Amino acid sequence: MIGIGKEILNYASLLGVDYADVRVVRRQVEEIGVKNGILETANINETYGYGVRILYKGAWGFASSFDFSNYKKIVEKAFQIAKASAMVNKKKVTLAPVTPVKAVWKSSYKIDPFSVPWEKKLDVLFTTDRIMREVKGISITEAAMEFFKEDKVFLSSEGAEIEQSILESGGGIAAYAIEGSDIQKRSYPNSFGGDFRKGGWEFIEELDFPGHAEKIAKEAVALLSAEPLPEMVTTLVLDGTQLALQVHESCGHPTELDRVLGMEASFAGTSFLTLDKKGSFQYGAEIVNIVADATHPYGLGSFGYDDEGVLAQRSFLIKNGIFVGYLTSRETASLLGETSNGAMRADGWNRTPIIRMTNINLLPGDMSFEDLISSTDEGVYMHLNRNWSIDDKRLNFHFGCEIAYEIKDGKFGKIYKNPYYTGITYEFWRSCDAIADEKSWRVWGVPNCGKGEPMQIGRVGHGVSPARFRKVKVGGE
Amino acid sequence: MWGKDRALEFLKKVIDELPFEKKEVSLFISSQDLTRFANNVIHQNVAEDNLTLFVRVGEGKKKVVLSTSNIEEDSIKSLPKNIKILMESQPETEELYLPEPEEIPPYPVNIFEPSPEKRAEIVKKFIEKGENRNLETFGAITEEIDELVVVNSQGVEAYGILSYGHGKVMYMGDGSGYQEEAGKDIHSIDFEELSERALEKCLNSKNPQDIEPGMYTVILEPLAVAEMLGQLSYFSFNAKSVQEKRSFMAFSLGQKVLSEKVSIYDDGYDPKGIIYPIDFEGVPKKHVDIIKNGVVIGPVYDTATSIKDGKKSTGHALPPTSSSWGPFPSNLFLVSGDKSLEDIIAGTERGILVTRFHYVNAFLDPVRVLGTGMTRDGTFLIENGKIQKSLKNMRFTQSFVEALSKVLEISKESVLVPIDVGFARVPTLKIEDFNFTGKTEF
Repeated sequence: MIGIGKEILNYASLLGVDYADVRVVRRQVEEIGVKNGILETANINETYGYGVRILYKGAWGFASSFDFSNYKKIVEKAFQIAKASAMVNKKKVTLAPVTPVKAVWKSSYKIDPFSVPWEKKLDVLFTTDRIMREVKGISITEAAMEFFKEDKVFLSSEGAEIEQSILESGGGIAAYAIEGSDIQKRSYPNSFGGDFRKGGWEFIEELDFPGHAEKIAKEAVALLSAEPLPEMVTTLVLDGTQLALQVHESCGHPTELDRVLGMEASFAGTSFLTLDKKGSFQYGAEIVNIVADATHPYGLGSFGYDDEGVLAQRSFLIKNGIFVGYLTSRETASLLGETSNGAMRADGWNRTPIIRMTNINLLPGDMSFEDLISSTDEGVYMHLNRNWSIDDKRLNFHFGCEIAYEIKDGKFGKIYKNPYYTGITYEFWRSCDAIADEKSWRVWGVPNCGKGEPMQIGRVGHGVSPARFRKVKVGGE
Repeated sequence: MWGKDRALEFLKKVIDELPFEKKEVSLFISSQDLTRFANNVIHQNVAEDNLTLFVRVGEGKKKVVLSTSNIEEDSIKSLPKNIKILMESQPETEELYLPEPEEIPPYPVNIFEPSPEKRAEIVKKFIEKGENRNLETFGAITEEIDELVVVNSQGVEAYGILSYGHGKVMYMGDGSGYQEEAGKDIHSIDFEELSERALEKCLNSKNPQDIEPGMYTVILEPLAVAEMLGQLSYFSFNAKSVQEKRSFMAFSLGQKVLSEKVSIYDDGYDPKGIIYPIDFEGVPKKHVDIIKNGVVIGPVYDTATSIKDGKKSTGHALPPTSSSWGPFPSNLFLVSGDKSLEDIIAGTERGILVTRFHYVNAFLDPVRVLGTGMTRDGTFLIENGKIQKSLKNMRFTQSFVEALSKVLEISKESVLVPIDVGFARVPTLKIEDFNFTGKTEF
């Protein structure tokens, strides 16, 4: 891969560009899914290609292809596109400096999932699916796993030569109970596909799908006869999975500096965390500390170097409740007179890098989860996301969950169906008065973060432990 | 572009290498060029050439899907061995259903050479218009040409071309205004008119005021209607969701549950949309009446779901790697009415005019398609038949099925826009009792 990458870069350098980089990427994905006792998905997908990014007279051009025999034409196309951009642009792009490195980085794992026999994988899925279907009242069952391998090379005209290998594993299960038009669903370990991390087959074994199948199926059936959560303002405790999504939507996206600067304005929107707020805005309560950490050992948003060749870093976004930093690229960091904190990634070879979350982690507090619940007189505990929506500056949000548990006098009570909570981002985070400690802290993988045009799917992580929020508007649809 | 002869010849060679009972090979060759602009500069400008070879095989009640961008000889030769491993390791569960060959009706083919220079010229005009008013300009211009080719062991040999252009423009100053439109190519879109509409929205949306959430009569402009239709399509118009009783259509086939003013159909050959001749199984797209005069007629089908219902595929199969989702409409039309938007506004005593929705999600209740989302880029209060003032953005939580049962009027004008899968041509709808549940700060 590095050989052909160098050939492509050498050709780009001959054209008289200001800057060029080349990424060669080979991606292999294995998807297996069982639904209602039927093997619905048995897919192996492989894609291999390259993308060329050129800066000319301060303007960008990018072109990509699967066809390596045709690389000169693709490089010329990227150059032609950069020239067209330069026809329009009055402002020129400058890149914050980075020390070009020659490096090799590999994510760690114990058991390569691609070497595990399909019989073994199918046995886990069919067994889990059967256990869920044996629970009376269950209408639909799903069990799935996915393995992701990416080898990529980054080369730049500044001299960077970086090779990286990434291996990720994960999956999830779900049981649906349906009565008329009432659909209740419980999932494990997370909804919308499950949980994913850097690692191998050992993560699937650790998740133990069969061991959780009966419990979630029974809960789905029980939800059919539960009441919807009454509308009220109360204390809310969020489990890790839902809190991960809360961090994703209300801290991760609004701290992306490209959004803040308007680069996504006509599509996903902008951000309330405008430049004037950096360093002074009270984003949350003093106990709220959020970092962007691409160095975490198993986070889905970890890497050695981003897709601009910038070393993986850990930096604060929120410190003691104050908003202090953005996720940046070389281009956007230079506008602030900073260096990039390494958040540029592309979805495969065919897309240009954009600012993506790495692992956006809410640091743990100092109270055990048990103490957090036992010190709550009255409230609700919500578990696993069911729906999500937030405005285009990331202020007004509305999240639904699969299940809510009543908390009364420090103990869990009855369950409610169709729960939701809604609020304004900074009011919500300012109301946070307890975060569980590191014993219940883990990084959740979100493998489906959509951003950009053409749409790019990002694989990001969120480290969280459950947390408590006061005076939150909740209800049940 | 590969062209029909080269693509079919290649796929016939590939299928001959596969020693299995049922087999289908398909190629999706896509070329997409896109120019994005923000803050009066082009900040992303990209072109990509993609190719995916899909292979589906079945034996007895076993099936496997492979996909690859590697079409070198060694890769093709390795396919049978890889498939065999996957076949042998699985139990018998469900067979692979493949369609029989059908004649593909003729359709107009529109091939063009994407041009970054032409896209830049359009952007330059947008920006000049914004600069004249001290506004920042944002948006994107897209040009795409796709070839889809399918060969199967039942005798299907299908080839289709899809091409389109798309543009969106947004102006931001004290307010914001946005418009977008698709066409058979970028030359078929009136960008001057599009940018004027966006500019007017932006200028009129200054100084937005608060209004309390509650039930309001709304006038949803086409971009908002497209979001709503996209959610209905995702959750409801798919035969698999009907068969699994996850769609409202499962409980209301043949019944009038929507306003009699509402008719929705899907048609890949309708020239008022983007021509989309075949699906990923090589089946020609059929005209499918989904809702007619408020009566639920039926969903779209692929081969697997059609066999379960004893019907024929309507030509709505997704790519093989996504086929477990079931079929999907890709050329939706919500039939226009006979009043102009101007007349609809003039006839509204009190209501809210919505330009566009943002981040709509109906997982809250898929059967009722209970969606929540925000308004954006131009929300206005109408009183006594006139736009009185700009409003701050609001959150709604509303069943889209119920909303379509309360349609008061439909505009004669319509706009063609991309939705999550494919395209929709949609008019403006006036709907009563639309439920706004929250508000934001801008």
